Amino acid sequence: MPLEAAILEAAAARGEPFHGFELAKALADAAGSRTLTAHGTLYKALARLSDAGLLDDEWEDPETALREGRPRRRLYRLTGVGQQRLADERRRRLEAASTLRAQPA
Amino acid sequence: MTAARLVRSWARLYTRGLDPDVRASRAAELDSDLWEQLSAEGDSLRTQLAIVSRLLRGAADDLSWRRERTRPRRRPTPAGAARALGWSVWATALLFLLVTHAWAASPLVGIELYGEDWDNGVWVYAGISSALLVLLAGGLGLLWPRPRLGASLVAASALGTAVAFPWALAAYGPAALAITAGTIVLARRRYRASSATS
Repeated sequence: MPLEAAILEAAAARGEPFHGFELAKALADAAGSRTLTAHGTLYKALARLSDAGLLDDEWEDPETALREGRPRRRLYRLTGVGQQRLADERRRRLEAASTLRAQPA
Repeated sequence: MTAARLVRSWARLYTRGLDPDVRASRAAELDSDLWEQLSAEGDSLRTQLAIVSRLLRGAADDLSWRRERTRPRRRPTPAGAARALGWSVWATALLFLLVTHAWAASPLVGIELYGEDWDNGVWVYAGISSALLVLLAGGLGLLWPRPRLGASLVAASALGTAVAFPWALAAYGPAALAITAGTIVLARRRYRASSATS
């Protein structure tokens, strides 16, 4: 599955805003791997999805980060357009799978 | 140097010259990511190596992300699409004329591509086509060094084709007009460019 599609899946499964590292962990867990997505690959994909309007992003309240003693997180969430794209992608995958199953061996 | 410092240094390098907000945003996002990873996995050699691995594996994407940010964004406009269509029509018409003239002129070089069908007057057609082909090729060749003369020859060949073969006017007429119009535009551009530099 392309990274962008995997990100949309992970975002939908999470159901709430997520940050980059959290996403990298979720993607690795979903793939059953310990290797995290590379910084460049991950943030480029997130930037593309945001530019395309499939993800929404905002920096968290500095007070929250200060209170928890860590850098501010950039939080991403799936938009309505992103949900629609994900539904289309799932439907496309299902159709491809059923076409493959229907073909005689 | 720790792995985190390496990531920050690399980020400073590949974001150099970008919009300050974009630069700061990427740096802050990486700071957060590094902090989260070190906090979740502990500051061990294994984590340091994992961070360096993430840096190295993503370096090509960092550079392509930078290219996407620095490349001027050109959105297709209706005028641009119309121009592209116009040049496609011009090139197609030119190719059509070159191929049909070469085909009709072929008996003169001992190759008769269209067989016995055109026995009557085959040499007349071959002769006319050869002359028009020479005119067309010569005009195209002169379009760069002598734009006015080149365009005149191309136009003469294209319009001459429509006149010489009236029975094929439906095909040659629009082709001749497209070639003449496009060639005049090209010649004017070339003429202006050469006037500006001389």
